[in-house]
Amino acid sequence: MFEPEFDLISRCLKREVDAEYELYHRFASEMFGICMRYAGNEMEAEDILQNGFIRLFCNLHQFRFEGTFNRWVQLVFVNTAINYYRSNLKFNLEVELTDDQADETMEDALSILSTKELLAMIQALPPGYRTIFNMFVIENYEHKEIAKLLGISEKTSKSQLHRAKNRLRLMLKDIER
Amino acid sequence: MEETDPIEDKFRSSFSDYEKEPPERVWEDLVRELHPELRPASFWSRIPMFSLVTNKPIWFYLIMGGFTFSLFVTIIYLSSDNHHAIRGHAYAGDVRLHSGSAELFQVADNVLPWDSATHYRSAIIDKYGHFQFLRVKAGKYLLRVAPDRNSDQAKMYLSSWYDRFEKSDSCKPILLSDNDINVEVHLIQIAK
Repeated sequence: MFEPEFDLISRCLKREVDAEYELYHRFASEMFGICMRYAGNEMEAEDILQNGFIRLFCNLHQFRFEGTFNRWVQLVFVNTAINYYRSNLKFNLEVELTDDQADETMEDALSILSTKELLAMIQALPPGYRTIFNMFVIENYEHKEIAKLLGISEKTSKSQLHRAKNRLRLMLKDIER
Repeated sequence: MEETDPIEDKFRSSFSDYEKEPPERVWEDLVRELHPELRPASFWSRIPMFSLVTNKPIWFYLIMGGFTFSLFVTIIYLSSDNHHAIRGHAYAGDVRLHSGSAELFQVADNVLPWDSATHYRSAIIDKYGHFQFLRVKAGKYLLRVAPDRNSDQAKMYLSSWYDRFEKSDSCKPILLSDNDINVEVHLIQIAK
């Protein structure tokens, strides 16, 4: 059974390495999953994971036991991932002229894809599309929150999501062929 | 009724509980960054330099020649780029911290510090409370000092952000531009 979070966090605040190890192992797999979605490849995901844990351990005082610890940890890693690509996040407002409607063949292609293949599709997206797609679709951020976190307008966030999905549709059409 | 998007649905359901085990080296690197005091001694510290130069004088001239040359190259290199040092002392109350570590985080200009803090480097705090980060590129940084967890000072003082802040979102950023910077970091005393 897990050690109560309060005790574990208190021991981490005292910089006990075994407590840090326990906390690391409790969250590493889940957070590495998040990092893999935001990163372009596994090496970058490892960098983000390490940076995220350094931020986490150095900012444990910030956690006030007001929400769930798990959600707070997720936010730290999503923020770290955003920062990792901050200088590469380029957003432009041109609208791609692709059909927005889902067709049946695309849904068939979607249904047979494994998580590993879906991950490869996300990682193939440009950092800007990938970040917004992850934040909106998987982390359930609203466009308003995304806009605030990335320093962009809500309109840009919506347009980038639209473009990201169009890019994924094109990839699916390639897979169908 | 709200229309659902098959792409969103598929990705959301596939990644809602997605996990992947990271390689063990991530933890090893993490410990090295968080606890610089646990790092093994460097290769150079194991060389019996003193006996080498006294027993074989030729080594003395070779080492001094190499050292002078390296110094010359380093001075030219350092004078040509925009890197500087952040040095300072950490204090636990009125006395200097006897041991611990300092963490430097780089932050972006136009966002809240906490939102953009990225770990830059860590350094050991020596017995005189001194720490230094050499060759830091110009920019905006946050600094955090942690006492050695086994020391008596750790029982009375918290790890703190520059200067005397518990949280990174309210701490004072350090702006590094054209000169080296000296800072004094004071740790927060644990309430009795």
